[in-house]
Amino acid sequence: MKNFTFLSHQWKSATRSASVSKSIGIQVLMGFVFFILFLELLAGGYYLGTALAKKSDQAIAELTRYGFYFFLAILLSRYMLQKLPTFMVRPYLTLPIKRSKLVNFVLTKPLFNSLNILPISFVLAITLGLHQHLNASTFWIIVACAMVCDLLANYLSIYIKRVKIKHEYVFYVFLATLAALFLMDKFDIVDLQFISSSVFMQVIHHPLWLIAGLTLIIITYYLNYQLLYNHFSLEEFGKTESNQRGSLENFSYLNRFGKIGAFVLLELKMCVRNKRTRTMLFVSPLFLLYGLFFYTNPTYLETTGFLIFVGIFISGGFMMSFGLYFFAWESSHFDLILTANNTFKDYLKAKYFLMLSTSVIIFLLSVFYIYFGVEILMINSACFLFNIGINSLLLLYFATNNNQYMDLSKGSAFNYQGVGARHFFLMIPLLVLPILIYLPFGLTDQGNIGFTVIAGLGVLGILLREKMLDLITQRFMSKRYKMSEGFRNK
Amino acid sequence: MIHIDNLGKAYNRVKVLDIEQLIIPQGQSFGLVGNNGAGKTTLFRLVLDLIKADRGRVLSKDIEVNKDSQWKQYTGSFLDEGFLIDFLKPEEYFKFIADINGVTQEELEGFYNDFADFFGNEILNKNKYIRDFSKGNQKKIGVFGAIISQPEVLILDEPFANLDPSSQFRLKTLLKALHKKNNLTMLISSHDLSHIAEVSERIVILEKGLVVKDLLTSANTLDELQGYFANEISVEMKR
Repeated sequence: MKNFTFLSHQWKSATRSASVSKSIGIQVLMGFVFFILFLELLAGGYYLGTALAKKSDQAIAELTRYGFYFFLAILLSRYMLQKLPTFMVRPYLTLPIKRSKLVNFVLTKPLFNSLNILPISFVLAITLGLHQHLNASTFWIIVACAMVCDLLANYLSIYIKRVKIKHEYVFYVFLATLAALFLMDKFDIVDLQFISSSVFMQVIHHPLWLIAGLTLIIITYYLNYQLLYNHFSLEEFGKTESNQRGSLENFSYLNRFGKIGAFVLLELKMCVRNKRTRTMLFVSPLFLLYGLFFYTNPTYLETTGFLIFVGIFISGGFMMSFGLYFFAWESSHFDLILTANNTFKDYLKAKYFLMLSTSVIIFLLSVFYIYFGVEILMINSACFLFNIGINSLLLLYFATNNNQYMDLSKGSAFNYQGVGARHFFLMIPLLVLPILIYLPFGLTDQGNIGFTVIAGLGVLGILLREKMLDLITQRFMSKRYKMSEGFRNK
Repeated sequence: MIHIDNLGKAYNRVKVLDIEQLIIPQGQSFGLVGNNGAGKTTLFRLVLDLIKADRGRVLSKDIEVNKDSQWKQYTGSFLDEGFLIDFLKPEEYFKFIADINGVTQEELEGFYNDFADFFGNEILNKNKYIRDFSKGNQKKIGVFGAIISQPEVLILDEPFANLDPSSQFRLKTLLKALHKKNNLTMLISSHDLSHIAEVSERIVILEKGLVVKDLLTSANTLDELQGYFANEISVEMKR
């Protein structure tokens, strides 16, 4: 069997998958984002190059100081953005094909990923900006270094990702190592720039050192190869070890809330016990810290519209990332939900209470932002009320539009399976609506009335929730066939 | 009990179900057989209001199932994995269904004792999630989940498939006992002609969405069924 046949199977699996037609939207969006990123990298690289050229005569030496950062940045972004090159090998395992051939195919496939041109084009743009300081040989060495860094980062990130499937803690060790490295650099315990410069200057003076880089690539390739070769029967690899300790097992507190309690408990277990939702849970504290990025910057503190945006995000970020897919999360047992002896309203209410309680907790935690001024707390409170009063209901309403099956077992940040582009657009009204409400008041210097209106609308939403939930129940009822049909179509 | 009236369903203009009328009286054990694609699962999904009919209606106790959800209070069902919550342990799953149906913990424990035989020591106290059980054991979990609420109507899609031989026999005994004790209305589909002939009082053969035979079970029903499907093969071979 030729590699070509593998490729053609890959192509078929990509074009014939059931979800492909639906995901055209997301592909267009991603393509657009990719293009913008590409242009930005080109422009940014050129700008950096010219700036360096102007700044010092030792431009090349200066450039090499940032080599390590470049490498770490690629490593991190590859880890976050790149999907594990999966290739359904199981059907081929019983055929007379050498295992090493399959492994090599899986491992060389990511080399043909379109994302690969980004780091190289960035470096090329830098060298263009630096062209006065470059002779031909230095230019080629820099390009070679960039390629070596990129390949190394590629295989390293894939390796870490593969090991992570089995040992989830590796992900956190990896993040912690990177964070520690940056912190040590920042507090001058380790001088990354100095190390970087000495390494890369060495390579520029003696290009033969490139062989060391190649050796590193070969080592990481070999590590990947070994890992895949030994764990090829996907049984071992895809599944997490069974016999996990069941979390939330004796959580009987919710029993007293009857059916709604049972649903809420189900939802909590779902969050904790599935990979995808668990990753989300781990990332969600970040929403709380969102404020730190902006409140520390005085220019943002003056733009109130922006502060509303931040406030909505702090108490509502988790709700939004989770709530838009409320029904899709349950796609694997949606038929049970539809036939179980409960009213749809109770089912929806359980979700409503879940949003309510998580936002309350996050809001209470966010009270410490009073440190940045009473006004911040006031804005955040208004936003919080708006979130639980209006946005939670809007989310439930929008969630009924979502009828793509979601696989909860494969999960990590930046997993877009079952996510459509239009869902990103659905987020926009949730964020923009309160700002639009504030705007007329803000422009006429009646900011406080603006906040009161936002908060008031939230309170109104809370008071009218039964009526609203009835409306959403009706919407759910009319959409239920479409959803269940979509969810069955894996 | 269940009244099917002029029911039709098509996917991409291919007719998958077309039933003029079918009445299943209360307490009847109703068997459904037919080759793949005959419309068995589609029929069950329509009865459970999981898909929308193109025309016609399904009445349960004289109420249209898609208009009012009263039927949920007395109907237990298990069609496929879509009815299982794979990240729960079996006990948690049963507890969830019990909670939804207002069955107390004590009653549930009582059930465990009554059905200890059916589980055959492989389901309870295994400390694993449903997703890690074998297909056969998942089926047992699903079937048990469907009867926890002590329903008046029980709908099972191919309950015998994937079960090991002794479990198949246990399930047969269980279904017959339930039917007798609670005057249960049962709708069961199967590819196993002898099993279905044994547990059903009435058997309907579906072919390409049409009811082609409607028999009351008697001593020679099994022969008749076997004759029908064997004949179908010979007809196809002649073509």
